[in-house]
Parts: sequence; C-alpha cells; structure tokens
Amino acid sequence: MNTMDFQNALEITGLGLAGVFLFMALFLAIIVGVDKLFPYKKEEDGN
Amino acid sequence: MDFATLMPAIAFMTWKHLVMIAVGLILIYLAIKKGYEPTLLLPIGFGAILVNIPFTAALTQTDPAGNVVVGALDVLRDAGIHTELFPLLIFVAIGAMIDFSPLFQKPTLLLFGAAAQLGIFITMLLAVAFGFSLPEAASIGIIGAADGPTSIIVSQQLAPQLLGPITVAAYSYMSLVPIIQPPVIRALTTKKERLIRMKTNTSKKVSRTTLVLFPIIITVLAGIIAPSSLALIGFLMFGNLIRECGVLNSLSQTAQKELANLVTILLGITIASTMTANEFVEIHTIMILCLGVFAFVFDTAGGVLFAKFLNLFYKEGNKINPMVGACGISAFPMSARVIHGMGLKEDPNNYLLMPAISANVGGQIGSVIVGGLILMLVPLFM
Repeated sequence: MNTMDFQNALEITGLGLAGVFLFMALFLAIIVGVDKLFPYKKEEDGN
Repeated sequence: MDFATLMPAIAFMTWKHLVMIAVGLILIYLAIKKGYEPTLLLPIGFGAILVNIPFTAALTQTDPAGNVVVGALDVLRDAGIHTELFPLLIFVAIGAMIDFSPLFQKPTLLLFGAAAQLGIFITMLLAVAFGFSLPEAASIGIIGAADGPTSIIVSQQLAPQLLGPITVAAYSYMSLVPIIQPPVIRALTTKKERLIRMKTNTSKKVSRTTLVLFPIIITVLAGIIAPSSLALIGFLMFGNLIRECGVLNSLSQTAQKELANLVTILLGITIASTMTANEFVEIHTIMILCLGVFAFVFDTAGGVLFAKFLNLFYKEGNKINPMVGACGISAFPMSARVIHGMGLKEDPNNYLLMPAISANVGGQIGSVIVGGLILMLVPLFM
C-alpha cells in the first residue's frame, strides 16, 4: 500500500463528504426558498 | 496452408477468450432469465462475445498486409465514450425522466443523497489499501454511486484501463440492490426502528415556476462551486428543464424514450469493447467486483446510520424510519421500492414509498455531485 496515496485518499474522503453535504444543504435551502417564493396556486390546476 | 491460416479464430483462441465468452453468456442469461438490468447487461454480454473472438472485425485489426482495419466498436468508443458523449446523453434522458417534486414534500430527505455516498469513499480507501493507485481507487469507489453514467465518466477520465470491469460492476450491482440492501439494513436497525411511521404531506403541490427554476439554479450553483461537475449535473438538469418547462413535451418524450433507448443500445455494446480477454481476465477485475459490493454495502450503511443520527434530535412522532436512509443511493426507483416492500413486510400498514422516493431522488443528485467532486479533487492530489 502506498501510504502517501492513502493519506491523500483520506483527505479526499473528508473533503468529498463535506462537499457533498454542503451541496445538498445548499440545494435544500434552494428548494425551501424557491418553494416559499413561488408557492403553488390553485389556478395552476387549470393548466 | 496450415490450420492457423485457415481458421485463425480457433487457432488463436485462448482460455482467457473462452472465459470472456462465458462471462458474456452469463450476462445475457442474467439479463433475460433474471431480468437484471437487461437494457444494459444484454448488449454488454453480447458485446463481450463479439470482441473475444480472435481477430474480430468489430475491433481494429491489422491485416496480413500490415494495413490497419478500423473496427466499428473502436469507432463508437472513440466517438461516444472517450468524448463522454454517450453517458452525457443518457443524463439528458434521465433528467427528463426525473420528477423532483417528491423532494419538495420533505426536503430534509435530500440529505440522505449525501450520507449514502459514504460507500464511495470507504471503498476508495480500501482500494488504495489493496494497492490501486489513487485515480484507480476513486474510479472503483464510484461504483458505489449506483449510477452507471457517472461511473463511466469518472473512470474514463481517471482510470480508462478499468472502464470495463467498473461499468460491469456498476450496472450489475444496481440490479442486485434487492439482494444487497435488505441484510445490511436489518443488521443495522432494530425491529422498533423498522416500524417507525413517517408523516408525509402527499397533498402538497409544487408550482411550475419552482420546478422550472430548480434545474436552472442548481446548474448555476454547481457551476460556480465545482465547474468540473457541470457536464454531469448540467446535462441532467437540461433534461429536467425540457421535462418541466411545459412547452417541449414532444422533446421530453423523445428524450425519455427514443434518446434513452438509442444511446443505451450503443452504450452497452460499446462498453463491451473494453472487455477484451487480455484486459479483463486479470486479478484486478475480481478485486474490483468485490470492492463494488463493499461500496454498495457501505452506501446503505451510511444512509441508515445517518437516519439514526438524525433521530437523536427528532421528537417522537417526527422520527425517520432508518430504512429510508438506505434510499439515498442513485438506483432509482429500485431502492425506494425495496425499502417500501421491507416496510410493508414489517407492518402491512406502513407506507414508506413517498419518503423513500424523496430520498432516492436525492441520491440521484448526490451521486452526480460526488462524481463531479471526485473529478475535481483527485487531480489535485496526483
């Protein structure tokens, strides 16, 4: 096993997991925000 | 005239060729008899036979006069895989198929799309420990994304020599979700946890403006934070925009059906062009197939354990059924169906389909994001 590669893989693991959670948290905020800004209106049923 | 000149395919057939032809037959059997991802496993299986007959004209060969005769599968591979065109077109089709509105029912379930990517990174660490280089290990880990096109793009960029086994593992294990996930979930949860009922607001409707804005905002945001993820997420969201805009129904239908079918046919048989005996019948292929199982197991565990962690903060009545966490993988809608079925087995009146679908949609986004992140991060450490 290449210990340098393993250390790098550990760093990528930390950054990758943090990154994906950050992305998802941002998407979550966007979903909540956009849904609040543009709520569903009854008139859309006619479309 | 000697036998080798008369029948070169038989004369130069080795045990490795025979193994690969047997692999092709097994994949065809699994596709037809067991129904495991037949749209891909059947073309891959047939392609594996096609490219493992010595001197096959499907691959580029040099004739006795020394002229190079280009094979059709090599042309397709150069055009569709090396350029990443086929997987990206599949993303357009998938985007057109995804309905993101379940995410708006309970947006917090989106986070399972992050938690259930744990297996990718654990598997990457394991692969490095087994002696694979960092780019190879990252490509092997991405099998855990349970997302064929993402696996193809990542391995094509980081470890093209492993494209064949990684793709076969990714698609095979996606079809084995009903076998891989339940025992892991049962091992990590109690009966009481599996009986948790979840409140769902199925009557909540989402405005068209919201559904149209969502893919645009996500694309811009992904582009700003991780430009390397933009091809993946951008094509997915483009397909979704076609679906949700409401004025391109014909294109949306074409993307979901004709485009998906055409590219799938070409993708499967082209992937098989990488499954030549000399490249595939190696010890590393077996290791990749084993590590792929680990990736799925740890993905499932990541989602389940994250749900249990969140439940520490939720009050009684608002808790999440930890089985739903396992749906944070990209295998859609198979994982959601499996969890819904498990829920019904524990309690015939516990309907987990809606939250499971929401988490599963989150998994589809999560797998693409992780693919982009890996493409961004790995080169920084090489």
